[in-house]
Amino acid sequence: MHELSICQAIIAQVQAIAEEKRATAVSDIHLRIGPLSGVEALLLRNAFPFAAAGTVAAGAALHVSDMPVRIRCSQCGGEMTVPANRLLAGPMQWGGSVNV
Amino acid sequence: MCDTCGCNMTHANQHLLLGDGHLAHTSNGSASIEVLRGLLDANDHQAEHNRQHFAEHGVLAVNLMSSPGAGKTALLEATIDALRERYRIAVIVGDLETDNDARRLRQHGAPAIQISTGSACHLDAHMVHMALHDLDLHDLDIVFIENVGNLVCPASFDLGQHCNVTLLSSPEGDDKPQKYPVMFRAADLLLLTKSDLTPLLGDFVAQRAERCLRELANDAPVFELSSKSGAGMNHWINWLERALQLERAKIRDHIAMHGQVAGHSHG
Repeated sequence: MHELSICQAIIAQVQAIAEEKRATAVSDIHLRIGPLSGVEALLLRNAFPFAAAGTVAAGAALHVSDMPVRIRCSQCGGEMTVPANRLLAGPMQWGGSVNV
Repeated sequence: MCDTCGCNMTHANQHLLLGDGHLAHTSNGSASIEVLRGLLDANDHQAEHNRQHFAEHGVLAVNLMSSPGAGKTALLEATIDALRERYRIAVIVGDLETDNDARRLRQHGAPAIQISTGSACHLDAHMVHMALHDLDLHDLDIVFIENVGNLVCPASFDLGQHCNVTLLSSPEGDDKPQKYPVMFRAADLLLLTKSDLTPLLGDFVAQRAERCLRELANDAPVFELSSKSGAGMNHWINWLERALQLERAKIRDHIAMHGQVAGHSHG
């Protein structure tokens, strides 16, 4: 539900950059979104055309790539990809302390 | 690797594609610009401004988040009653409609500013900033921000608070941290509320809720309490007082080092 306000924030950034670079149109916007950001890519795509309408980014294609959650054990330095709600679960013996 | 989604741009070759790199411009004159900024840059900027504003007045700002009906307002009523003699407390309340909560809190003697969000499912830093114009921080020790009841969206928006307190009431079930990881990961303190109902429910296990929280790599303290009976309230009150002391100590250190809290202009 908050994806429209996020789209408006994206458009504001894009507008500022376009102005700075004196661009007259924006053709593509690429985003990387991680699952811990609380932003849903699908909803973002649906909301984007409404936020972009009438701006320099109107008609721009929005490309969203989902990023995995990576954790690093602060003891052994081992890294792995985990589900967003099981940051400490996995086959490795995490000492209970990880960097996300 | 393809030429459409950007996956062909790597750390190794991006210097060719960015800025003045010889591949930076396509034949039709378009250019690619890497931004590497958060989607919520404007909100985060405003939030930082709010945080500074709180710090300048030595005020602790606490963001309360939970699903609707988990007992945020009841907790605040009990908290205001417990601390009224010692601290000056105000509340910023977010709701889609009505000022019911603000009216309830005013009856306990605390100034309460209502933000009616209309259809918005969360508070953002700009809304809190607007509310701050109606609040005299000189006269306050703690400002609670009672967020819109919602376990999803509020987690994504920094408001300028010093800490997030997330409430989980026993009727909601002990697996909620697993279902709403973004929200519970953001918690600096987890309060398991309505503990007076736990014996009646029979299937809410506080340890299970805590285990779900730990699996999110969050080592925040977890307290069980009942705003209604008062059981467990002392842990929460102690935590709050300590948070206020820590924040004030931080400000004192900052002033000792830099002379003052970094000033900001008011737009």
